[in-house]
Amino acid sequence: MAKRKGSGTLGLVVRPVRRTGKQVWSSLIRGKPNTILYPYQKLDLPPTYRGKHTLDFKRCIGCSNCVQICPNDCMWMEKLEDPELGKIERPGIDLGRCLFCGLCVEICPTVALHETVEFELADRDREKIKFGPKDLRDDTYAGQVVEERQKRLLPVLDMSKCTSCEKCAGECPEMCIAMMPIEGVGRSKPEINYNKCTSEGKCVIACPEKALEMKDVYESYFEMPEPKLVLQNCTGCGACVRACPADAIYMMDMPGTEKVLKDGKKGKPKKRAVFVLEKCVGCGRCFRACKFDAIEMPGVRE
Amino acid sequence: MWINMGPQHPMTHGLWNLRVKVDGETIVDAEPEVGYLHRGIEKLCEDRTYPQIIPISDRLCYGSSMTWSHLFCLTVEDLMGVEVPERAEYIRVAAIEMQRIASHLMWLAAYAADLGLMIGFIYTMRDREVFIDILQALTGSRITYNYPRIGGVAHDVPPTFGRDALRACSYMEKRLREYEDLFDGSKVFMMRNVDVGKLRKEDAMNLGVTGPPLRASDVRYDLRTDMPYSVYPEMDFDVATHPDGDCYSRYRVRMIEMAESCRIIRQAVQKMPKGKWRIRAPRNAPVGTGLGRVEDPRGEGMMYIVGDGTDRPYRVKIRSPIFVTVSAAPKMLIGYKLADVVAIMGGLDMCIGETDR
Repeated sequence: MAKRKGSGTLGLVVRPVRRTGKQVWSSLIRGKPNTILYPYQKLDLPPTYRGKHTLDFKRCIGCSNCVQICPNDCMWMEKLEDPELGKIERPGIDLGRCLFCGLCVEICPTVALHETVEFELADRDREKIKFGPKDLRDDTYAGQVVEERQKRLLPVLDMSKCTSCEKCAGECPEMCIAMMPIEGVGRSKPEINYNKCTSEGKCVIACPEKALEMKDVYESYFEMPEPKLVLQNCTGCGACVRACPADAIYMMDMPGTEKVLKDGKKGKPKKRAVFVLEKCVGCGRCFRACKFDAIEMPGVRE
Repeated sequence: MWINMGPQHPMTHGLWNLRVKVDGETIVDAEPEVGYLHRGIEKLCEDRTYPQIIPISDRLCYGSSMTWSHLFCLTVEDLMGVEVPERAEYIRVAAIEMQRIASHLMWLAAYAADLGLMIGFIYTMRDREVFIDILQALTGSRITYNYPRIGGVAHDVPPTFGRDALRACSYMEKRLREYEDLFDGSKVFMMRNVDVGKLRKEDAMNLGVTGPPLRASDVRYDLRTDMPYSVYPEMDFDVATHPDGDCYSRYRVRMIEMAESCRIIRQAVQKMPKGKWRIRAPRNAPVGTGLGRVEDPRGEGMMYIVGDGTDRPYRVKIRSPIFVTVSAAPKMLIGYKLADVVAIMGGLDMCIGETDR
């Protein structure tokens, strides 16, 4: 037999009695009970707890990134009319199928989705645990309980105002703005390297047209696919501009492509889409909206 | 006479079947059958992007989901060539060791209840709650954490994490002494454990047994020291071994491992540097393969991922420790009585979720 700890009177009587006495003292007389009466008392849940979701309608841009990352496919996009925001698309969640992994909250580019500590969601009816966008709506929740993700103040470009004067690139102390020529348009667009940017804002002051603006940009840990234009196929219809939730696509005239009409006048020039990739959230809506295969986006679901 | 113990049996802790051939009360042959809980997780992974697989790999094992999602992230980092920030590594080690204690405590609870020591079940489940609460505050969930990410961890530790972890460690070390009184002092527990289910050193090594059952057979093999991953080389801890190879030594090894885990958590919390806890990982994996091996609470877990240049893996292979360990069941069972089956198979800490995948 193995080395048993304490046989005989000491091991079989004295030690157990001492242990029992200690236990009775520490749990019954001195201590608190280890259990709670659940429906009446409730545990304090940590603020990081992953429970029912809330959605901030004003922050959400309707990019559907959350729908795409969901491992269970339990989210969907719903079209609604809001008196304040107009025609919008917002996500809904079937909490009966949700596995509460929190990936939708993590990937949200504008931190509009949050998770509350509410977990008592059981219901007799399956339809009642399908939460549409209106059930999830809580515009005041954001920033109150759960700490927001890290954000940085970064210059954001509005390409419709930009005149390609290159003043921002000259002012940048970190040399992180590069003027990239746009094919067919004959102009260039500033591309800002956010990794190098120190948020000094000199480019914003330098811009004569106020095309650059300092805005809060939330840090994202997900690398998203980037759209690429196939210029031969682009007809300039503008479907991608209407589809883009982040306003990252602009239609620009291509000079020199005007058709000469019968009366000798020049018609309207052809247009092409221009992507401002710093604003792109990688949702793939432009890719799906394009009917002429003019946008390539590897890694996006059809 | 062949007796089917399972698939529905209090001994099995999940769905698996143990067929034993008995001559009177003595076991003369045994045959474990697994595969009742096959969920096709390896195939499921092929249809999902890399971040989407992390919550699925959590579901591999209900007892220690943190190690499996960590293993997946470790393998993908090997495949993609991602360097993890140092702070993330320390957070991961602290979380994994807490998970190891919680897993061993759950094993001890089930084992004590199997052997008719109900008080053991109550005490160990109570103390598991301490670690589960810390992990809940750290990760946001109780069982399926979804906390490690490719290139770090999901978010930083809460401000009270260090204090809570150190408190829980000193609490646990006090409790471990109490368990020793409770279990080693119980005559029933000792009679059903000592000299029961002996596994010889050679058999254990030949059959590919890993983890606590192997170390209980006096083989000093632990991936945390033999093939160190993460920041384990900087941690100071001992590998628990026991010379006997019976059920009692498997119990002893796990008890010592819990105390060693407390030491590792202390060091990890104290050495934790400041800085970033996550970096941006690439979306697509290159064409190639990644291999990761970790010391699960149950043995050696391995994952092998083939990437094909897209954002989804081409193949995910999971090596489960229990799937291999259970094949040593005949060697352990033959020659003992039918009533010993509960003690012997319970001592292996079966987890069917990762066995059948």
